[in-house]
Amino acid sequence: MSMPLLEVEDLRVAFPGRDGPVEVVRGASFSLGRERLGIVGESGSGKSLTGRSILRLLRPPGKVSVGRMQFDGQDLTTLSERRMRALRGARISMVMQDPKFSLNPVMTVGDQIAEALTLHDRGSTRRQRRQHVIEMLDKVRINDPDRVAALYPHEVSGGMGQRVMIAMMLIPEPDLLIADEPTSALDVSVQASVMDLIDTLIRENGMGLILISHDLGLVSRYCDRILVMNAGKVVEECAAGALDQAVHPYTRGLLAAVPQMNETRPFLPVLDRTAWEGT
Amino acid sequence: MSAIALVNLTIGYGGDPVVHDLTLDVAGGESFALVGESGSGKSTVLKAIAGLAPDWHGTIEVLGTARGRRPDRAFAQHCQMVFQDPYGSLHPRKTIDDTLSEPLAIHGLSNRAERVVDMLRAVGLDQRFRFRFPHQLSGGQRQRVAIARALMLEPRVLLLDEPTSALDVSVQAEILNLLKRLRTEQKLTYLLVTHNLHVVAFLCDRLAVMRHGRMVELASVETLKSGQFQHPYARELYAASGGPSTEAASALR
Repeated sequence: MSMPLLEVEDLRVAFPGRDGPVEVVRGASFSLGRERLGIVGESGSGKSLTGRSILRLLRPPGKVSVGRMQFDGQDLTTLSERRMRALRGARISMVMQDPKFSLNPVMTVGDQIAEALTLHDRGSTRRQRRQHVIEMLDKVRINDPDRVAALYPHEVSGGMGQRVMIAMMLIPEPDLLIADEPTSALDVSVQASVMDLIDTLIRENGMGLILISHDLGLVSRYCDRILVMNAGKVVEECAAGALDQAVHPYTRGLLAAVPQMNETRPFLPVLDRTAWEGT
Repeated sequence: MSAIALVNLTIGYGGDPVVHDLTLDVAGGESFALVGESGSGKSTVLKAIAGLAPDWHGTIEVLGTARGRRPDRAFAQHCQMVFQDPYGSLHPRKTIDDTLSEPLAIHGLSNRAERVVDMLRAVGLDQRFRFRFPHQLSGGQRQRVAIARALMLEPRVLLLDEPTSALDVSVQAEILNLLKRLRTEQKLTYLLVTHNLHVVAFLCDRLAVMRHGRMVELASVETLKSGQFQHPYARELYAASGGPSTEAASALR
């Protein structure tokens, strides 16, 4: 493998609690090339915080400490806020869970995508940007992009909103895309098409992807490598195809707890949480 | 006798109808699922049966009694509903004990304390939760409370609106197991709304696939397990849900 795109060592996130700080991410380490990495875990496992800390999007009182965090040779921990801003969106971008809350409600879809472009590419003219936006909307398979560009977020459906988000995130041609539960707010039939779209664009542009999800099936379908997180720690790392050989009891428990389409078990096995947590 | 019988049911919210001409028959003791995308009208059907969407015409019969458009105490005793979001469906300033006693008070039933204790046990909640508030409980525990509340009046029909979609997979497994066990123990009839076909395969006997307010296919769970749907939309939904089993899951077999 060539030089890794992103390296994270010993990432820790803490929030103040009644009895001193509570560590929510407890020493996560991983590296990523131009590949598709999945992070799975249940709510509270720290997977989303891990994604956000990479972009330094955590606000106080949340505290991030990290042994080493390098992106493409740059040290993300010491970068000034100004340089960091130039990096966000342009080099690393993020797709959030719900398009309803992450799009600006008072700006048309076209203007929002153009804004992403303006911020990182000041040289282009208005007309060029407009052209670029329409091309991008076409790329995320929106029929009639001219019409959609003039719509406001409340006028588009959930699936279309998420496509708009993806268009906005990919238009500055970043090297790394962090997708935090990109399809959880969408219907199953739309989910597959949005994931296929992300997958195609990632491959075409040779980007890296971090897919954060609670859905083991989704992650194993769309990633090369999987990290399983539980209670702030990476408990298992494996190739997506080898998920069946997962050894950690938590991973095995999660796999077994998912009901199957051709279900024959009278009852589903339930995680015994006492087995690996200190609580 | 069928537990739920819907005949030519059309439901709206004041404007154009959202559900058109639905005819459906759920047998006593059966677990029946309505599946489809958001906007397909599946939840609206449940709301109409529960009396939360009064703008309908056609016939709604539960356990042989026709439902009127007004709140109906006798009806509520036989038919209760569990909602999707356990974070939003419990009163934040009432203790679990208050929440569970309220239906008993409304219906003038005695032995309240005893019934609450029994019900907590039935849904697998420790007695120490009895005097806690909803915010002190996890999502799975809250959904157990919501199920307990629905069962307080010992209804025979339970309407379940996406009972596990707000929960993590491991918690989902616990709630699904609970629903399955309660159904056998109390001989309940379920009408379940979900978009998750895997849940249907685990919990249900039959399912109806809905789209744009109409039922496009009525199938047995065997059809679901083998994927032998007739209607193209039902097949599409099946394929989008990952077919017979996802890679991750088949790996375990």
